[in-house]
Amino acid sequence: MTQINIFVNDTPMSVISPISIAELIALNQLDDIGTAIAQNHTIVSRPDWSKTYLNSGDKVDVFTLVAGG
Amino acid sequence: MLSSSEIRRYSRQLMLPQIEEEGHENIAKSHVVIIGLGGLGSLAARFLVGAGVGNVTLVDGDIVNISNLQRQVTYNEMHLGELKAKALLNELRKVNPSVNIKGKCIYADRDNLPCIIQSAHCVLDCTDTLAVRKLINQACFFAHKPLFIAAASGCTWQAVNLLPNQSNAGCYACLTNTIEVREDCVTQGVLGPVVGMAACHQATQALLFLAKGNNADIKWGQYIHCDAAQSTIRAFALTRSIHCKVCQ
Repeated sequence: MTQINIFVNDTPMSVISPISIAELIALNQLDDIGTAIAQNHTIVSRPDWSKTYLNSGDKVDVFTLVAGG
Repeated sequence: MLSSSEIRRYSRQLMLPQIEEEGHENIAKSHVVIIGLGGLGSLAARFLVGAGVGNVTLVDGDIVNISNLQRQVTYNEMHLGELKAKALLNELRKVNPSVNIKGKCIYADRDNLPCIIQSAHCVLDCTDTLAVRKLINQACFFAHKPLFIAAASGCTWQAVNLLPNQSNAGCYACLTNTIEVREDCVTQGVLGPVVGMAACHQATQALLFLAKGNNADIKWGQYIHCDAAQSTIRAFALTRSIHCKVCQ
């Protein structure tokens, strides 16, 4: 296990690798309902969160989907 | 060949390399279907009609409510209680009588969508519920219709342009099939200009596409997220999900 540095919504964060997107969500106690995740500017489908692992330097964007019009 | 009155009317957009005379003629031959005539659809429709889109179909079964006037700028107090499709059609005919505008005072659903979008060159999803958005996405995917989606809530707006079967680009269901969306204008509120920004983006993308078709520099599958309060815009690639039940 090694410590890696990532960016979550442009904020630097140190995490223990290996860490998946699903684990990052749980670690940060984020509400995963309505949440979309992008890894290095590519959206990761929710079913893939648990098998998508983060690498050092990765940029993770967490945002909430909206549907109003 | 444009007439002198057309050149005067559309002079500001004819100057643009993204439009020019040929692009405008393409716009004038186009048919756009706008589904949902609230904050997004009423404003996007105003821009498309102003720009001379030849045929515009307006779809919404809702009526104008007093709470709409804060952000749905095409309506006013004279329209309260009137069907939005009818009210908007009458207003837009005053803007540009040369546009063939049709109003359908119905809510889009699984059964009527294939017919509604059948002759469209592109569709604008301006609705406000995830369920209907998913139906529109599915109908456009199977009918091979370019789809311009926008949404807004609070101080956030989001948008994505979708072209069915475009290489690795995903569809709306790739993003939303496993996500529950809590935010909408009724429960979260929305700032009027924010939904207006989304509508302007949507109308811009549609016009650029109509002008140059496949030669237009449209970022298909690029999901835009704008936080108007923070003045930030982020763009993400929406790729095809192997779990998607629509485009896989």
